[in-house]
Amino acid sequence: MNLEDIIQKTKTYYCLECGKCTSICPVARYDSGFSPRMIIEHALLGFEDDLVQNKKLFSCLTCYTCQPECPSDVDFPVFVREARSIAQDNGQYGICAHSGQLQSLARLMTSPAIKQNRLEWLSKEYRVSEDSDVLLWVGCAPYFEPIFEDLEFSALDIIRASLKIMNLLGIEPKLLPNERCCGHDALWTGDVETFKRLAEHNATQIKEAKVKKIVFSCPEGYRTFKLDYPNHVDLGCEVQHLSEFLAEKMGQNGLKFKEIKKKVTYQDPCRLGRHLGVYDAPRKVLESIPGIELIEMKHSGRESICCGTSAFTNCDSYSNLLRAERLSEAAATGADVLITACPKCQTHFRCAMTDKGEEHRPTPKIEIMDLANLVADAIGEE
Amino acid sequence: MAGFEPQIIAFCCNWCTYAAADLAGTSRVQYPANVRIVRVMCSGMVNPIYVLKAFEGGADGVLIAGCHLTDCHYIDGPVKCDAAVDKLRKMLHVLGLEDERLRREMISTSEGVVFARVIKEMVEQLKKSGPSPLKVKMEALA
Amino acid sequence: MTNGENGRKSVLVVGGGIAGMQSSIDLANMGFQVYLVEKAPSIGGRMAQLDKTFPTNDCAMCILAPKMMEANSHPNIDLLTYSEVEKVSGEVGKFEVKIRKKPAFVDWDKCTGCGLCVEGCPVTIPNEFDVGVGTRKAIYIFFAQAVPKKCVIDKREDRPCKAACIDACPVHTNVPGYLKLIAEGEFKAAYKLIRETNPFPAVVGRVCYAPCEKACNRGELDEPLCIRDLKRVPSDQWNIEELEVPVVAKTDKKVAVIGAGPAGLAAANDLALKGHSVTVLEALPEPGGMLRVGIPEYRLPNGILRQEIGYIEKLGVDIKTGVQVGRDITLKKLKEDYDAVFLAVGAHGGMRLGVEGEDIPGVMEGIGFLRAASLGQKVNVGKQVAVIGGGNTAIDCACTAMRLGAKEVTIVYRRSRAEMPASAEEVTAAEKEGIKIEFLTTPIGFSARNKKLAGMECVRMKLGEPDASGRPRPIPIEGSEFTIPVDTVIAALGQVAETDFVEELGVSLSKRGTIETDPKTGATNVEGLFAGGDVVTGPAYVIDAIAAGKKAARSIDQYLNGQALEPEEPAKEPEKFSKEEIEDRKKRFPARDRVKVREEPVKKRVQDFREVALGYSVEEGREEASRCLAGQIEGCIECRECERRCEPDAIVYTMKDETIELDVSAIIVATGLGLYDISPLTEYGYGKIKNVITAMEFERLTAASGPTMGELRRASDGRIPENIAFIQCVGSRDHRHKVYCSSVCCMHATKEAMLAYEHRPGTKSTIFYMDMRAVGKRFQEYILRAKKDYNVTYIRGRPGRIEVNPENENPIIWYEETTSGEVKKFEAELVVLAQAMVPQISEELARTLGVELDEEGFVKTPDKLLRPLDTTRPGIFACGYVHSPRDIPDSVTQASGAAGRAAEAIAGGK
Repeated sequence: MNLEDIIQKTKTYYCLECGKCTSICPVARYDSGFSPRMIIEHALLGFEDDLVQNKKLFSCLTCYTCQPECPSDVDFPVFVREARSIAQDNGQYGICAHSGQLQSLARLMTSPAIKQNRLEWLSKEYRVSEDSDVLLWVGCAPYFEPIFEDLEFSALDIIRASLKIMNLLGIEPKLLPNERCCGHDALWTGDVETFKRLAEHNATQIKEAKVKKIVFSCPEGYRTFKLDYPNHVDLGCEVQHLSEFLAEKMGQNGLKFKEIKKKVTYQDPCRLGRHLGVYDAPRKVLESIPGIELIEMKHSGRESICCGTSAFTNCDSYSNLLRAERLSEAAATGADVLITACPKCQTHFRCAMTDKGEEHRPTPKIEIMDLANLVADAIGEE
Repeated sequence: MAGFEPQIIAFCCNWCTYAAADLAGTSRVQYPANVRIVRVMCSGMVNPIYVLKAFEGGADGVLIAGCHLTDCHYIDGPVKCDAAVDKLRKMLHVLGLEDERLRREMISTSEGVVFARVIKEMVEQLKKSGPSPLKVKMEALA
Repeated sequence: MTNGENGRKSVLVVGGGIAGMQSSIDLANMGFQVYLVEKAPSIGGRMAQLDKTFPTNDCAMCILAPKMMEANSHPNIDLLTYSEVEKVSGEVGKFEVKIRKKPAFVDWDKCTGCGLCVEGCPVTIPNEFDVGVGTRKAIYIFFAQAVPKKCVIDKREDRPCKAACIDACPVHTNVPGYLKLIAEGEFKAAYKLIRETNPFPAVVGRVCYAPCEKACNRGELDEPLCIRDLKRVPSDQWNIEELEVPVVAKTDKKVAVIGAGPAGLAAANDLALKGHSVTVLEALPEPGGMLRVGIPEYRLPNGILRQEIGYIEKLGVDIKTGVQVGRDITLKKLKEDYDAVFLAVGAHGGMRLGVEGEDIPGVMEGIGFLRAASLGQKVNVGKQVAVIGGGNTAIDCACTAMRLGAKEVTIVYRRSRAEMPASAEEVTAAEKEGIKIEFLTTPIGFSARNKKLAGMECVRMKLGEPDASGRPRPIPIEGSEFTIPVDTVIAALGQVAETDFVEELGVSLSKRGTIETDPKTGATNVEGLFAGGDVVTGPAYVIDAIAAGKKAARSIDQYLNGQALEPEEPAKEPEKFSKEEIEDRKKRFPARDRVKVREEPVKKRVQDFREVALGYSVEEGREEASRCLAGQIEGCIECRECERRCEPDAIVYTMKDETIELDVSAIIVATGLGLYDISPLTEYGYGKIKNVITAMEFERLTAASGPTMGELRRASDGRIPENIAFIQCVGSRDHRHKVYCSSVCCMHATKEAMLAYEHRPGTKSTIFYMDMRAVGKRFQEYILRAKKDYNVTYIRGRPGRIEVNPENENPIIWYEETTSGEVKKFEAELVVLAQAMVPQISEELARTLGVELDEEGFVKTPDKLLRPLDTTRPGIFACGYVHSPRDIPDSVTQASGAAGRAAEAIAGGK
C-alpha cells in the first residue's frame, strides 16, 4: 500500500486542518513536536519522505481519542498504522521499549517449528478440559513473567485468576499449548508480515481446537481477534473479553461474592473502551461486588486517558508525564485501588511508579490490580 | 541429522574471552569453525535482544562468555550478565528452545584451551539437537 | 376557475416566519387570497427570537413587527396560526387542503391578550420561545409582540383527580394550584394564590377543620394530602410583611364593618380591594375576634394573626378597637354615616349551667376564661380544675388551664367518647398532655368551703334513645351521685350571639337570637345592612366565617354599585373517584404516605403557650405538596385559576381540534429552520457546563424582551461576562452530524460579539473559526469593523474539549492554534456555541405536502439553476431556510421569488 492508497482508505482528504485532533491528543498535550494534524498535512502535501522518516510517527498511541471526534471523519489511528508499514519498509521502526525484546519474541513466534512450554505454570488446582468449547487466551503472560519481574507484577496471576473464576462458574476452559503472539504490536507498528504469519498460525490452531468462544483477559488480543483477524483469517468462533463474559454470567449463575470494603477507580483500556466500546461490562462487574465503591476519574469512559504507551514503542519522557497525570487523576479520586482490565496498562503504570517524578510533582503511588484478580478475591472461599 | 553444521554466535568479552579465543588461535588449538565471534566490551553489556536477534537471524546456539566474577574491568559485568542470561533462559524456555542452545561461560585470557573445548562441546551437542526451531528470517527467505 | 373568497384565486403559505410573511404579502398585493398557516400561536418565526440582525445591527423586532402587522391586517391574508397542514390533494391550480387548527382552550374572539390569566397560573414550564433559558406559564402569550396577541393553554393531558378539594372548600381555595407552587418552592406565589380567596392563609393553615382533606381524591388511594398544614408553609418560609400592596382605584363609598373577626376582616379585605373605604369597629381591645380570644396562643400564635391583619390594614382598612356598637355608638348612627354596614359581631356570649352553686367564686364560664387568658388578664386557676363540656372549646379550656399551672385537669362530659363534638385528634392530644376525661358524667351542683369552691357534685349518666340532635340522650343513673374535689370549674357549654343592639333598626332575629339573612347574599331585612359569620350561624368554623364575609362583601359591592344582588353560582359537590378510576390511579401513582408534621414534645409544650404544631420544613413541604395528583402531570393542571381571572370569560377547557378545508391554486413551503440537537457533541459540555450556551440562548439573553430583559448574565453566578469565546461550526461541517455549512454562524457570532461589547463596552470576544464565511454584501466590512472597534479576536482552530475551572466555573477551551501548531488552553467566562441549523420540515409534513426532501432534509429542488424554487411537486414552491441554508435578506429575496413563481403557476404558466 502506498501513501495515496492510505489517504483514500482513511478518507484523509476530507481533513479541513481544524486541529481538533491535536487539541485533544494526549501526546500532543505534552509533546509539542507531535501533531496529528501536521502528520496529515504532510501526507496530503505529498511529503512522503518527511512522513516516514519522522520518528514521531511512532509516538501516536492509537488510543482513538481523536477519530470519534474528527469532524471530517478521518481515521487517524488507521492512517498511522498504515503509514508505519511504509516506514518499516524504509527501515524506520520507532524506538522500541525494552530494547525490542517483545517485538523480537513476536517475530520468533512466527517460526512454525517451535514447541512452546507456555503452560508449565498450570498447577493441579485449576481445571481445564480438552473438550471444552470455551478457550481461555493466555497471550503474552508467560513471557511477561521474566521480562517484568522487577515490577512486582505477574501477568500470569491474571490468567490464574481468570481460570479460578471460570472454574468456580463451573467452566473448565481449554488452553492452547502452542498459541502464538496475537500480533497486535506487530500490526500497529507496521510489521504487517509478522502479524499475518502469527494470525495464520493462531487461526489454524483455533480451528483445530473446535471451540465456540475465546475469552480474553487482555483487550489487545481481544481487539486483534475481533477486528483485525477477520480481514486476514477465518476463526469460526465468537470472541469476548473476560469482563463481558463475567457481566453476562453474573446475571445467570447467581454468583456469590464476599464483601470487599474498598474504594476503587477504573482505567478504561483504549482497546476495550474506545476501540470496542466496552465501557459498561467492567463497571457492572465492579458494582456487583458488595463493598466495592467505584469512583470515576476526572476523565473516564469515552474521555479516559491512555496509560501512555502502545505496542512498546516510543516510550519516552512525554509518556511518563502522561502516565503521571493519569495516576494523579486516579489518586485524586481517593480510591484505594486502581483497577485495570488490561495487563499492558498495569505494566505501564507500574513502570511509571518506579519513577519518583519531579520534586514539585512526584508521581503518585496507588495500588493497582486487574479486574480479574479483584473478582477472584471476591468469589474466593470465605 | 547428517551433515548438519550448526551456526553458533559467541558474544565474547574484549578483556577475557576474546583474548582467550585469540590465545587459542595463536596456540594452534583446534576448534570447529561453526562459531562467529562478536566482540563486546563486557559480558554485562550483552542485552537479551542481542541473543534473541541472533536466534531470529538463524543461529542454532549462542554463547555468552566473559571474565570470571572477580576479574571484570567494570567491576560487576559478569553479575549483570548472569542476570540477563537468567531472564533469557526463562524466555527461551517458554519459547520451547532447548537449554543447551544458550551457553554462559567465564573464560579468562589464559584459558584458550577452555574456549576451544567449550566450542567443541557446543558443536557436538547442537549437531545432536539439530537446527534451531527459531529460524525466522531464513524461513522467511525460503 | 376560482377558489378563494369573492371568486379570487388563492394560495396557501405554510410557515409564518419572515419568508412566509413576505410571500404572503407579495401575493396578497397581487390580489390573490392568501392563507398563511403557522403551527405556533403567533407568526414571526425565528427572526422574532433574535435580538439584532447582521450586517446592519438593526433590531430584529423593529424590522419584523411592521411585517407581522401587515400580514395580520391585510384584507387578502387569512392568518391561521396554531394550525397545521393535515392533507393536500389535487394538483396545481386545484389543490384541496385540510388544515387542523389546534385547540388553544381560549376563545380568541373574546381574549384581549391582557395577560391577567398568565399572572395567576401556578404551572411553570420552560419557554420554547426563549429556547429554555426562560420560563412561561401553562397559559401563555407566545411572546410579547405576538401576532395575534392571544393566550393559549398548554394542556397536554387531563387532570388525574377531580379537584374535589376546591369544591369542598367554603371559599374554593385553588388547592392544586398552590400545592404545585409549593412543590416547586415558589412560596411567595403560593401565598398570593391562597390569598386570592382567603385573607388568612397562615391562620387557616393552623386552625382549619380542612373539609378539603376529607374530599381529597388521593385519600381514596392512600392518604389525603395534608392540605391544612401545607397552607402555612408559604408564610413559614417567607415573610408576609414583604407582600406588596396593590394600587386600587378608590370609590367614594364608605362601609362600616362591625366586628374584627374572620368574617368582618374578610369582608373588609375584599371591599378594600374593590376601592371602598372600610372602617372596622371592634369592641375588644385587639382585632381578630375569636381568632384572637377564642383560639389559644399555642394553636395560633398572636404574631401570625397580627401580621395577616396588618396586611389588611395596609390595604387601607381602618380598624377601631374598643368601640362597642350599642354602647359607644348606635347602629342607627352608623347606618346614617356609612353607605353600607356589615354585622359580624360573632358569638361571644357564654351559656349558664343552671345548677346550684354556679355563682360560687371559682366557677367560670369557658369562652370568657379563654378570652381573659388570651388578653393576658388575670385569671385564677387553682390546682384541681374541672372543665365541663365536650367541644373544642372545652379541650382548649383544659389545655389552657394546664398551661396556667393546674396540677390536675379533668374534663366532665355527659355522653361517651364517640359523641364528643371535639375533633378526635384534639382529644388525643389533650390526653397526651395528661388531661383526664370523665365520660357519662354531669355536674349537679357545687359546694364551697370558707367561701371557696371545694367540690363539684356529679351524677353518672347512661345513654338512651337518640334525641333531636340525633345523638343518644344521656339519662342520669339514680344513686350514682359523687363529688369531685375541685378548686376551679370552667363551664364550656357553647356560645351565643349577643344581638340586643340591632333591635333599634328592626333587624329580624331567629329564635336562637341570631340575625336572619338571605343565605345567598348575606343581606338582612334592612336595606344596606348585611350580616355574616357566627352572629348568623351560631358558633361555626373559621373558614365558614371567612366565606360568609366574602359573600357579604360581594353583595355589598353590588349594592354600592347600584346593582341587583346577584349571588354566586353554587359550587358543585366534591366528586369521588369511580372504582375503575381508583384502580387506574393506583397504577399510575404508586402509594406514598403523608409526610408527618413535626410537633413540640409534650413535656415542653405544656410549660408555656409555645406553638404545638411546628409545620413543615422546606423539603418536607415540597415533598408533601408533590403528592398532589393534579400537580404531577405535564402542562395545564386545570386548576381554573385563569378561568377565575379572565374578565371576558374566554377560557374554554372543552375546546377541540377544528378542521378547515381550503381550495388553493398553489402552495409555498416556508417552514424555516430548526436548531440541531448538539447534546451528542459531549466534548463541548453543553448541558453540563453551566457557562456554555448556544447562540440562540445568547440572542434571548441579550434581547430586551427576553427573560433577563436584555441583561447578559451567565448561569453559574449571574455575573456579566467580560471575556466571551465563540466556537463555530458546532454540528455543522461535521461528517458525524451535519456536513453542510449552516451559512449564517460566522456572521451571527460576529454580531453577538458586537452586541456583548455594546452591552458592556470593553468586553473581549474571541471567535474560534474554521474559515470566515463573509460572503454577503458588506459582510467582510462587518468583520473588519468587529476587529477594529469591538475588541473581537479571531483564532483559527476548532477546539477539541471544554473543561471547567472549578474555582470560578469558567469554561477552559483546549484548542490547537493551527497557524502556529501549538496546543493551548483558553479560559473564558462564557462560551457561545454556534449550534448547527436544520431545515424545519418533518418527513411527515413532506409526505403530506407531497414534496421530496434531500438527504439532509431540505426540500428537494431538482432544477437548481433555472427553477431553483420549484419542488418535486408542480405548484408547490419553497423558500427560506427549509429550501437551503441562508440568511434573512436571502430568505426574503427568495420569498418574493416564490410568490412570483406561485403567481405564474396560477396564471397557467409552467
